[in-house]
Amino acid sequence: MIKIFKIKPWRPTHINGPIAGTPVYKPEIIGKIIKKAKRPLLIVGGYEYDVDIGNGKTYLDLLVELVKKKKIPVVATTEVAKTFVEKDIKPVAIMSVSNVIHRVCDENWKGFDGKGHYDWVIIAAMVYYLQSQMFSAMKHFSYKWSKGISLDRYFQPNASFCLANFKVEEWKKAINDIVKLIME
Amino acid sequence: MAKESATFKFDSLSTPNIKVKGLQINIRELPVEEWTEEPQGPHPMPELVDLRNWFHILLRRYPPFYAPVCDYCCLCTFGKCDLSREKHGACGLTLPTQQARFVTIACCIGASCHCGHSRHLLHHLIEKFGRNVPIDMGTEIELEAPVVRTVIGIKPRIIKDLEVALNQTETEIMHTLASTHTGQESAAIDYEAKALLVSVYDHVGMEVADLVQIVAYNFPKGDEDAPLVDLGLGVIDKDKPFLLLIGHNVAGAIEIVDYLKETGKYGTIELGGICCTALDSTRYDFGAKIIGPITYQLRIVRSGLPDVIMVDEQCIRTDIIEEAKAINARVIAWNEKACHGLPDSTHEDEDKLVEELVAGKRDAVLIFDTEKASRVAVKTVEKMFPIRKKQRNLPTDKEMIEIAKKCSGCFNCQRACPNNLYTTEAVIAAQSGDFTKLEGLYESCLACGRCEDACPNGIPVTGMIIQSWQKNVRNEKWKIRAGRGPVKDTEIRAVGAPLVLGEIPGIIALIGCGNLPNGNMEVARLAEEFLKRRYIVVATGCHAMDLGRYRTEDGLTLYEKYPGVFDAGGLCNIGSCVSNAHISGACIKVASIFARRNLRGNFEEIADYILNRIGAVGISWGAMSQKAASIATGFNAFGVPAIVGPHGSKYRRQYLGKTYNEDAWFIHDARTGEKFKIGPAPENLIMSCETIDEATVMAAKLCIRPADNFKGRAVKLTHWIDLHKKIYGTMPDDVWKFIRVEADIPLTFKSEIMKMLKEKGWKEKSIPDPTNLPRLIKKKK
Ligand code: SF4
Ligand code: SF4
Ligand code: SF4
Repeated sequence: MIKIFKIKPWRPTHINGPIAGTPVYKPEIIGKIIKKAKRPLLIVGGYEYDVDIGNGKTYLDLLVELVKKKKIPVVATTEVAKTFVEKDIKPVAIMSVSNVIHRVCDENWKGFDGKGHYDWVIIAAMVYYLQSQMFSAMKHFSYKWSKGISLDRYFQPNASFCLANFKVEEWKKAINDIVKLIME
Repeated sequence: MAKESATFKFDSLSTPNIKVKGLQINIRELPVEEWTEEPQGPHPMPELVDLRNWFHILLRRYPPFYAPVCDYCCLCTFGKCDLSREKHGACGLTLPTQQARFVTIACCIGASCHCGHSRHLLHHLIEKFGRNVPIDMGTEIELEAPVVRTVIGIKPRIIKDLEVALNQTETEIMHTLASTHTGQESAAIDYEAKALLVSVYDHVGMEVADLVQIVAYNFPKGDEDAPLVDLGLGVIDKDKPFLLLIGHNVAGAIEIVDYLKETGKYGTIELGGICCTALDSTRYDFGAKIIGPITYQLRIVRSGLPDVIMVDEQCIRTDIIEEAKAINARVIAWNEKACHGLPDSTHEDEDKLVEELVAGKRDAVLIFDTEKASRVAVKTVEKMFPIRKKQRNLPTDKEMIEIAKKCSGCFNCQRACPNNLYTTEAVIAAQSGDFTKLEGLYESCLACGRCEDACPNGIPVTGMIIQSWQKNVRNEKWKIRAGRGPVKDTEIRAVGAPLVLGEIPGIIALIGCGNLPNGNMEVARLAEEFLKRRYIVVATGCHAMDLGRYRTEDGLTLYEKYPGVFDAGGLCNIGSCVSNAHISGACIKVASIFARRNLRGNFEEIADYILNRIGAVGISWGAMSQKAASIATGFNAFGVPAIVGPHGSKYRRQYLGKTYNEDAWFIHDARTGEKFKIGPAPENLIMSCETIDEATVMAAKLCIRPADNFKGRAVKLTHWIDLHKKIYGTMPDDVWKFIRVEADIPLTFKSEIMKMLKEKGWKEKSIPDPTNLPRLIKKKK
């Protein structure tokens, strides 16, 4: 799959190689993939999770709502764990993202519940370059069983799907739409 | 017997019987004085594969996790090769092996950098003081060179003895680098073993460099009361000529101090520096000043303060001459490794050079003679000062408003920024005279200049951020304790037992460079957290400065508040980058002084000891350079885990334990030979953490070691659980894996943990005498 970039990665130097995922302009594409996922895993990081996304909610509030309603297994990689715990959600793990993706890339890993791999690994609220590295590992070493999605507003070429460098206001609407679609 | 070579050259020699000209005598091998107190261990001067067994033990437990930054290889003309997924390069290479090869190359660069620095210093100091300078580290340090003793297997007595160590280091760097040629190793694990080996030699190179400068220049020898020196952008006296030093090799700075003293000019000019040259100059002259870490280069230069800039080697901005030109300052370079395209002026007339520099006929000169370069620097700075007027390269507030109006809001600057800082928003706010957003970026800004180059409208974004902060500069006056050098044998005697038994919960070593994701404050707060908990905190290089640029609640800097002793609750500025070897050295000293293990050529056993017993963790929150790669990888080889910040994920390799793979977590009981399951301690060998809070919890966890006694284990668990609860709001769910006997359970959390143990069907085990090396089992089963 060789793609010519129509848009540049958010950080223009982050073009690792010939394989790149799809930056989407229609957020519902991402919403539908996650909705249809058989075994999704959500990873919530420690970057800009307290951004106001409208209706008096933060990005993290929205993710908490999603996890609570859809029972999506969630890994908290940083201090965001505390918010999940306070909202009575037990993350499947509180773990460094590298340790999680190391597992995801191990073909013999059985998942946090012993039931096997996650088909879609979704990363939210994580600093751009670290996400890029994690998706890079997945792109090469887990693509047969786990693919990556970013919920942040930036084009991440190493993820299979992500948003196409949305402006802040566009993204706020998009993330609300995505979560709504999944929860419907 | 260790050997070294020597060459004697005589231009002319005459005795009563003979007269010769141009005589050269080469003696291939000279013995270093024999070390009789210890038997030679199995691996003196280990060659390329001699420690492969140990490294493979480590790599089985901590398999590499690769996150490529680039999916191609372009190292030979068969390339570019696309290595993505299962593809092979034209030479057969795969992507994981290419990652390991790349890390190996980075570690070779790091090791050769320290070794080259070390070689230069040794050569220079032998020339200056002779070969017989004794390695006298004072009355409280007998174990003068723990890394050299362990790895090389010699006990050096005079500085010339250290040539043997450098010869061997150079040889192994060469062999390692050779292995990275096209068509060599095919298995990633073998490159990793080589990266580990060359990084062990990195620690040899660093130790030699710091030892020779300590003994020859009489730096503090493990002095916990080394004086507090000035640090910060605001410490420079603007009424004096200012000579700025940038780099890592202190030889030039010392010539300057000596020259100023000899000529009675000491105190008439300001001497301040960036990076390790600054740190090391304050170990020689407590009146020298430290401006800040690597990221302070543009800040100080664009402020217009320096009249002359003297550069040596490593981490110098390669556009320094251009930047200096913009403020009408002059540059003096003297180091062979950074010639900046300048003609060699070593043999030109000194006064004429000064004259031409002052007249602006030359922007910079290159002089491969530190004494001459220093004289030229001092004479130039004296003459430049009255005529130069501190010419800045920063826009005024008024200019900023006009410049900002050119902004088209394209976001190119933010997209280029390594820390994704909201520069566009800040520049747009400046259009109406609101500079608060620019000012708000200052502390997280790396002053790298990438935003400026990305701007299609030529807006000097970095300069605007720096300018917005100028009103605060006068308050940037801090204190840092001058680098104390190694940990003393007497200190090790006092802390050895509590450290190994776990009663001092750990050593937090802040070993790092300046690629910080959110500024220095969070590094300082992490240090303070562990100091309050009475860990031993040690620091080197840029992180040593980061800790100084912070005040505690009572208005003191950390160095003013905490004692400089290597003991619980002590904060030691060990010194510069090359002083990192004293941290691995301190761990080795525990094995030798407390546990009486032989060091001589006994690397494997000592590393096994450290991995199982000494709760030391390196944190390089701003790890950036290839030197940081080899420093950290060297620590890993010695059994010390390391945490790097989020930018560290771009090193592309981490060593991560798979805690779900129970087979990986066993040791042998050295007393009985029994195979023993252990908790995953330490869990990872090198890892990137995303936030400082995450790193704080992880650092406490990584201090746990298989050999902790129950009291020590309980103390370590208390801190880890407490931090975990404070930051994550919950008890760690794997805490049961670290309970061996009931007495391990911290009293405060007893009921919670007992409940967990019951659910897990936990059974009490005994506490082993752990080793990963079957050959160390006393009685085989
Ligand atoms: S070294 Fe191998 S992978 Fe790299 S460019 Fe050459 S042939 Fe390709
Ligand atoms: S100078 Fe500062 S704002 Fe500009 S790119 Fe570098 S870190 Fe970002
Ligand atoms: S790159 Fe220049 S024009 Fe574009 S947003 Fe930044 S400052 Fe404005």
